[in-house]
Formats: sequence, structure tokens, C-alpha cells
Amino acid sequence: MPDNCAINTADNELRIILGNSRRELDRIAPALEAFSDMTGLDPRVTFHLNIALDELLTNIVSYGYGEEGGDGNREITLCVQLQGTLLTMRIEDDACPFNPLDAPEPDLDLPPEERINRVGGMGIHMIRKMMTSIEYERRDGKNLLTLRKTLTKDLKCQ
Amino acid sequence: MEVVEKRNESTVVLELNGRLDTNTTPVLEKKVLELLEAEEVNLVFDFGNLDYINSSGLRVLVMALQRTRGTGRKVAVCALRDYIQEIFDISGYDRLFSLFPSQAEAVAAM
Repeated sequence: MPDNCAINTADNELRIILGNSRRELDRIAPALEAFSDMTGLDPRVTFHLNIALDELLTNIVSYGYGEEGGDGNREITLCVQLQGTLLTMRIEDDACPFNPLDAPEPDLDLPPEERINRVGGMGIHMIRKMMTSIEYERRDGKNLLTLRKTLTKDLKCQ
Repeated sequence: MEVVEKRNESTVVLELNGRLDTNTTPVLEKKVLELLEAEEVNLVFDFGNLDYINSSGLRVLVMALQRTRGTGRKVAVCALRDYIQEIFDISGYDRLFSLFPSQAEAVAAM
């Protein structure tokens, strides 16, 4: 189990505190792997969760803390919980106000030469397709993102 | 992530093992740029042992496509696992790239 990471088996909950640097992104996959082993999630669901957290956290550590990016000294809290067939993920950070849902939808019919500058919207586009709902809130100087995914009874993608 | 390079006449195959994510993408980006600047080659990305790809990994593939466009060179991706194929479908990249079930079929089509 990585540092600053706790799995609560009684509540089917994973909590992990990341520093605000790109290097810290490498801690997401092993933590999700441990959570999936505990809860018995289908590997495709785990992949979707991985993509969602990876894309959102990459944005936060790359752009949320000024041009230099995050220095690793501020905390980002992730919480993943499975209640029945409902998966909920919460991301809380104290970076600049940023609502990823404001990113424009990518134009999937654009030729490649016009695509490269729009990739920012691609991450959030993939998350929208993979999750059931996403909500953003700015509260008490923090960005709060709540992602939900409804699963089938055998914990696979719907 | 590990990148294994194989040559078949004017086609270079890059076999990717592991995770292509924000922190490993620069390795592949450097490799692709070096190859495309050095010589006139076609590129095949073999995803048979690729466990993960995010939007930064996809961006390198688009870059390869941009750099070869109009030059007569080709770029293909092969052996995608079903959940990685889904990423291509969702992003619309299934329409942008030539996708093949196996490395042999991709190389034959170059």
C-alpha cells in the first residue's frame, strides 16, 4: 500500500492524499488496483476510474498551481467508495478555481493537424463517456469534484 | 514503460510494454521525433503489451500522424486490447488511425 493511503474495508472506501506534483500521479494506479482487489470490481471499471482520476489530476497538478506547476507541498485528497452498485469518487484540492466541465467538447471529425491544440478537452470528453455523472463545486477555497458511476450487479460497466 | 524497436525494411515497429501515461509519454515522444527526423520510415505502434494509455499518450500518436502527413509515409496502430480500443472509439481516433489486429497485418499494409 502506498504512503498516505488508507483502505477501509468496512465501508468499501479508499482514501489517498497526494502531493500536488506530476510524480505523485504514479501513486493512483496501485491504490486503485488495491481498491479493486478488495471490492471485486471488473478490470474495465478499474480502467475507467484510472483514466478519470489520471486525466483530472494531471490537469490539477499541471495548471492549478501557476505556470510552474505544483511543487508537491500542497495536498489533494482522493476518496473512492463503492456502495452497492454505485461508485463515487471525490477529488478535493486547494488549487486555483477550475471547473473542468467548462472545457469545450472536442470536435471528433477534425483532421489531425487541427486536433493537437484541443487535446485538453479530450480528457474530459473521455471521462464524460465513462462516468455516469460529474459535478463541480467551489467551496471554502477548494475545488470539489464528485464523479459517480453506476455499475451492474456483478460490478461491471453498464 | 519499455519501448522495443524492430525494423522491417522501411517500417519501424515500436512495441510498447507497460503504461503510456503523463510521466512516460515523453520517452515515446522523443523516440518518435528522432525516428521521423532521421529517416523516411513508416511507423507501426504495437499495443499488444500496453496496459494503459491516457490523453497525453494519444497526443504522441496524433503528433506522429501530423509529422508524416503529405510525405507518403504511414502510421498504424495494432494489437489493441478491447479496453484500449474503447479509448480509440470514444475519442474518435478509430477514424483517424489505421488499426490492425496484429503486427504482421500492420507491417504488410505499410
